[in-house]
Amino acid sequence: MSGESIDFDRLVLELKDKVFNLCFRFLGNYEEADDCAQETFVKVYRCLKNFRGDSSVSTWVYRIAVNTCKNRVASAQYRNNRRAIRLDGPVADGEDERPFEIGDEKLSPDARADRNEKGELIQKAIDSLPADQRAVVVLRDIEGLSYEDIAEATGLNIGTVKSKLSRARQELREKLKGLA
Amino acid sequence: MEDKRDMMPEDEYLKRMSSLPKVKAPDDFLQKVRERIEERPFREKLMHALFVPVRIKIPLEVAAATATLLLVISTLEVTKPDKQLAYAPKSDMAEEAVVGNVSNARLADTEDVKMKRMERKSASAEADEFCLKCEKAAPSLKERILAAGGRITRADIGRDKAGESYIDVEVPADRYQDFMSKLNDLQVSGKIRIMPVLKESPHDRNIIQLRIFVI
Repeated sequence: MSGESIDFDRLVLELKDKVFNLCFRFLGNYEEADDCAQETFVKVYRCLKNFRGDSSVSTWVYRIAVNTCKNRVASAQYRNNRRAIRLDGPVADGEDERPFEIGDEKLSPDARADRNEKGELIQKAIDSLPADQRAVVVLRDIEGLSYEDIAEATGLNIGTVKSKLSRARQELREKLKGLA
Repeated sequence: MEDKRDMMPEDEYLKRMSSLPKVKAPDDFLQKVRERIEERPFREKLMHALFVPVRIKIPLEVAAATATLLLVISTLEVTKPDKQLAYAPKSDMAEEAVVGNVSNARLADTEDVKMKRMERKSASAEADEFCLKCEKAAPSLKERILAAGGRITRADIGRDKAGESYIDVEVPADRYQDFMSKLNDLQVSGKIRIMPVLKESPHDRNIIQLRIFVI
């Protein structure tokens, strides 16, 4: 399927929840996720004519979403927002020591339901991962994509995807051992 | 080798991750995306209007900026005071303008101004010559006159009825005393004789005209 034959509105309706969930799990903030998901689809709209159909549309959209989320995480404004609402100190272990923190999200009904103690701890643990590891964990363990699709969406090769996933899982399992 | 006792079991980890609630997009998500798509072209249109095609727009903008800069610089240059003088009437013309406003009289006045200037130059040259000749009788006469703020306006040699040489000098009224004291020793020794003309200068009431005879 090439870009010219795709109905954009239909594409948004089909993928909006998946993309939104990916952004939310990646960023840990409802408003940021909303903004990022919208930006993702705006980019999709702009680039739709250039889509050649080498991969599936959804994988292509995921790739745009992942890149948009990574850019957002790297932006100074995002980091400032996160720093302003930091609750506790840095995590002692892990190669990329990032503090556990939660966003000041105004939760939607769905997100509010998710905000139970365990869900919140898992989200915090995901937030503490480096961007690449976060991307593969969210795509594989939450969205359930195949390694091939993850490699396509992240621009990494499959071996790297597997190693990053393994490292991310190990770190998360250590951080979440108290929930077991 | 990892210590599995300090980790959540893998199957439980996978179970918890996959059971995380799915957060759904707001109902008006598509509408917001549409609004955002409609919103953007303005910025893009502006950028497009300004810079596309770059090969044409950028040189045009650079040329316009350069032209504006040159215009500003040239305007500033023209309005500088020294440049304004360059465009102002010359002093002769200014004198001419003072002498007469009627256009018919202008040519004659211009000649008059020229004559006056030539006379002045001639007087200055004559004064030099005169002072040189009178150096023995009145050493440093010219310097003393000038130092006291005086100005030699006319020098005649041997034209007086009594056969004495003299020079006419103009001195500012407020420096008259200073002037006299500077020339007093020459006067006392009888080398010069100063005869105040005691009339106001036709050009300036603050000027006193004197005639100095060299004996």
